[in-house]
Amino acid sequence: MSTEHGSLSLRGIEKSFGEIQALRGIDLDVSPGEVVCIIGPSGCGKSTLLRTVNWLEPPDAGRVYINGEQIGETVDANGKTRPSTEREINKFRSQIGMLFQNYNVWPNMSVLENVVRPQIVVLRRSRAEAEEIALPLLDRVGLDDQVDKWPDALSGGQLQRVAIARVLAMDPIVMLLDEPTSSLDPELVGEVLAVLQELAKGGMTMIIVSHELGFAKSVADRIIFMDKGKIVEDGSPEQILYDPQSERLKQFLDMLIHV
Amino acid sequence: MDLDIGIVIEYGPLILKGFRLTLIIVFFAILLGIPLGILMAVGRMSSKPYFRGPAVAVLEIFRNTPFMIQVFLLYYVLPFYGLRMPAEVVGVLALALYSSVYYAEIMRAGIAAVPRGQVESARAIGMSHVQALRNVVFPQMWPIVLPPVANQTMSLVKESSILATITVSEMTMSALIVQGITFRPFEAFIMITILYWVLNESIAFSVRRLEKRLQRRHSRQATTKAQDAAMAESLEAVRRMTR
Amino acid sequence: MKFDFSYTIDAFPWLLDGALITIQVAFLSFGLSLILATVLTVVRSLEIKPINAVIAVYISFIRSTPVLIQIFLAYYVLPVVGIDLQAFTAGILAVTLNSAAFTTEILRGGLAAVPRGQFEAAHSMGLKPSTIWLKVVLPQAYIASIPPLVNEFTLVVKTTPLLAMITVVELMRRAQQIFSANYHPVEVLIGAFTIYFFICFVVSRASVVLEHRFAVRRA
Repeated sequence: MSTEHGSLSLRGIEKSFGEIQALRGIDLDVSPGEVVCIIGPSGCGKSTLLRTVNWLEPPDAGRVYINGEQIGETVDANGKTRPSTEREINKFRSQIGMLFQNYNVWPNMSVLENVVRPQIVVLRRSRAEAEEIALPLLDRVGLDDQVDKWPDALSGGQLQRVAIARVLAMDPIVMLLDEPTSSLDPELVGEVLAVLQELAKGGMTMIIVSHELGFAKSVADRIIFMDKGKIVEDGSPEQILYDPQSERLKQFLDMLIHV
Repeated sequence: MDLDIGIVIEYGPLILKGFRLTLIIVFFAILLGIPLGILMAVGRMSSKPYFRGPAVAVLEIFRNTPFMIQVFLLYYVLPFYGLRMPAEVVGVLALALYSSVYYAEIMRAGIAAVPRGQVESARAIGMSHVQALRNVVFPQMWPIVLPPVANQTMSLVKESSILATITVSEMTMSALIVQGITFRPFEAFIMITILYWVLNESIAFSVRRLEKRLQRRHSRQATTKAQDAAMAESLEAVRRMTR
Repeated sequence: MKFDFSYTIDAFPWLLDGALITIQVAFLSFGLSLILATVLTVVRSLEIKPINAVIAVYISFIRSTPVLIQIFLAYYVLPVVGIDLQAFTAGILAVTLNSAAFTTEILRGGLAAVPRGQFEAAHSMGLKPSTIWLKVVLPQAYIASIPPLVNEFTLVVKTTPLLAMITVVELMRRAQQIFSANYHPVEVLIGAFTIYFFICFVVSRASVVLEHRFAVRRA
């Protein structure tokens, strides 16, 4: 398991969907091992921002750098820039681990196969190698006894942990988490947060979009507040949560407390 | 109107030979038609115009012309390109091409019925589009797609009768032969009418049972109401398109 | 160049002659089928078990057997029971009965789209059943069924070439006559092919126009 954790840089990211401008110029730097939590009202663009990083939603303008390398555009032999091919982008994607709100575990494969298949198909590891990597990871997320089960027999919390193991098996240098616990029943949130906390402590670079302010406070190095497609405030958890500067952030926190 | 049982007994075997050929032709047409249909469905969804253009063109051409003339054209055109094939093979090809249009629609609906997040997570982990289709989409698609595909088989059985016009000795042709020999159209056509009816009704029956069984399994998977509705609408469209 | 398309062009006037017959057959059959299907739909709604059973058998028969066989039955087998029909008539009969089965099912769907309340409201206003059907229910059922009905018309058009097998001189038969004389089947067939494509294509576009005109909302 590689311990090379990555840095992330975003410059001038813009994205529109038809008439709606979801992102209006985002600049962001994340250092290796940093855990950044993004909060904000729905529609502020936080999920979209996450999805531009691994080019699931290519931005209309702006650049994304992972460990200093630009994703989405390639400089070819003549020194000219051109849009990257699917294959070039996929090389980055395997190093960027993404978690989704509804887990997206593949129901046509067993738990083990979910973790093994991407390694074989994308990283071209042998099945033996892939299983050797998968089993300890599944153990680490607490699913060692569910290895041969099928997704339809698992709870939401277990499924999200399968997704985590699946992503970790690819040796990611950065992790993007899009509301990882929002679909879970309250009792199941804890087990997932515990795993994520462990990852954070282990030095993984993470960008987490989440409502879980308690989690943010305990694990995040930085919290970013977004509103209407722009980053409004950026600071330590203490600053953001206890000393909000902008009106919008104050209103947002007020609303959360009263819910 | 009198039924001459003697004719039924004497020429029954010939009719059954035709029945057998009908089944073989339909089988191979399905075998060929489904991959073709998948190819066209994927081509139609492609973002690259040089894939999408031909796929759409082929679909529109086959959908807007009678099967009979497609068969005739294929039968007469192929020898010009050096392909002298037996009528049966031409028949299978024509049937496969014709049915691929409907399979394409079925597959398109099937692919769309797989929740988007499944493909997203596959691509986010680094799989190419094709890898995502192969590893994640198609395996989930088969149970959804099986009933309409089975339904389409009924249509193929019926269309196969048209192959008699290019002298393929399937069931309809064998009836025409019997009629030609015995001058008794009644027995000849009644025999094949019953066979076609029984064959298709059995397929229809199996489809209904299959649909019930898959409904139970499907309800456990997480598809949204909108996806279910979109799927149902596409399947209705296919049902209407076929006879 | 293997093919000499001057043959296609030369054949066109004759092909168009045949196409005219094709269109006549299609309109006639479809029209009759619509009437028959409407009658069957109304009769079915009366829920008289034995009649509905007969209708069900009829629909099952039509749906499970090839159209070509139905055409042969009308032309070759009916005479055996005393009904001797000319080719054109037999053809119209077979295509009409075939289309009516599917159209009945289409109208059943269209009928289901008419809100139940319409029947009740009309009834409570004291309207006679025949008026309710003719003025209130059927028009709405038809409008709701425009897309599948137009599609059915296309299918009828695509069924007409089979009548060539019982000597009806529509487009397909014309083409066969021509190329058996000039030995250029491909060129002539391409001409016929293009005409069929044109007819079906125009009809399906007409569907869009009709849908807009009647503001059909797809269920």
